Amino acid sequence: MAPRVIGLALAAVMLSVLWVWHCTGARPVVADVHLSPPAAAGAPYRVEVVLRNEGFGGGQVDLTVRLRDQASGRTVQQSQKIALDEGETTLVVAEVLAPAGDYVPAVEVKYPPR
Amino acid sequence: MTDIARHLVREPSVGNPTEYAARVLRLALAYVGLFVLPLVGCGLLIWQAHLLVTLTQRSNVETLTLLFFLVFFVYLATLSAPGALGAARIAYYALLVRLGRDRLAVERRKARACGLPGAGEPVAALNKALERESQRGQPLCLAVADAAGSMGSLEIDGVRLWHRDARRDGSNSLLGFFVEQVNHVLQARGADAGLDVLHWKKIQDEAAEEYLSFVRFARNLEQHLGTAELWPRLILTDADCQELERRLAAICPALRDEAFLPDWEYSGEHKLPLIPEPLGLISLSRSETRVDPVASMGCAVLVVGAAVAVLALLVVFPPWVPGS
Repeated sequence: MAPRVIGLALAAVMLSVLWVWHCTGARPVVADVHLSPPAAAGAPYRVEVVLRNEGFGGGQVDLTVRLRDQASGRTVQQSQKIALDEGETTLVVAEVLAPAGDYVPAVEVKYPPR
Repeated sequence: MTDIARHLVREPSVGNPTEYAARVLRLALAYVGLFVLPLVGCGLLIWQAHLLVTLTQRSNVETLTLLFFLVFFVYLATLSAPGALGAARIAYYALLVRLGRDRLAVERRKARACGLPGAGEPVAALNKALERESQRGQPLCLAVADAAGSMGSLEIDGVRLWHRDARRDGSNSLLGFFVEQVNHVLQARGADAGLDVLHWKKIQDEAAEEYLSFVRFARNLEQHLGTAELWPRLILTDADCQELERRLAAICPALRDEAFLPDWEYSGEHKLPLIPEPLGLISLSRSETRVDPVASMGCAVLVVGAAVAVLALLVVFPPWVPGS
């Protein structure tokens, strides 16, 4: 009886490990964010985001960049979908057209993509 | 297979008083698990609703499945709440003993907390009649009591085994324990044994009554004809009865604990579809007349545990889904 139970438990653990190893998607993490003001009047703000995939697999992720105007609290946002491979670190450059202001960047990244 | 079915499904852990006490503990833990795990599942479903809904929608799984799981978890938690409460009461009395209170006094408190005998008095129909050597043809009565008080009595009238004055709903497991102990006692003195339960009245009311009436007819005919034995019977000596009463007394504390827990008695069926639905051309099945609550609740805990584990796995390691 005990060997059978142990065998079943081992099979369950093996299945879980294989599942995690081969079927999981990305786990994106925002490693760094850098905001550059427009180079000229009317040009977009440039947001550089370093994304790192800490998951065992890859996949498409949703990236949302928000610029929050510290004076009014209003936000300007831009979303894009990024493909990440297993273990990949990538630099994403988002150009956000926004009126002149005192902005603070906030980056949200989600997996699975909505 | 029959032994596995008996020891795992029908009458698990009825070999001796220690096993019986461990069985009650396992039943209490099963109710706790069946109460806590669904709550964890509900928590996961609500906390990670966005993620799980996204996963279902992007992986071609019906989102309604999540609602099914939510209803399933709420249903099980509601169903097992009285059992979890009973387990808490058992833990409370066990804690009192651990804290150094007098064990007998605690047992007496437990006996009072169990309440008066209820309407549910378990009855089992045996394959062989049981009689006392000194009282042939008479019903046999064995006390189920210890120093802390009575937990009723076992009455055996031919093949009818009845737990009289059982607390709350009583327990068929006590009857299973008794049958096992009779076999042990008879085997120990080299007598024929092979006593078994054929019907449980709580589960198969009509079949049990039909069988009991038939045996009653056979025994009446036996008396009328004056023959030695129309229906097979086993004879217990006075020493056997004393030994059985001693063993019944030993499980009284466990019986009091068990009285705090719901006693859900069901028959069971295991189906193995060789060609699954919707064709369903061939399927194997095996049924058991009784599934002990430890087995049924234990299986339910495993199923709920597996469901919660899969949900947790999906949350911690979201699966790969195709991009849009």
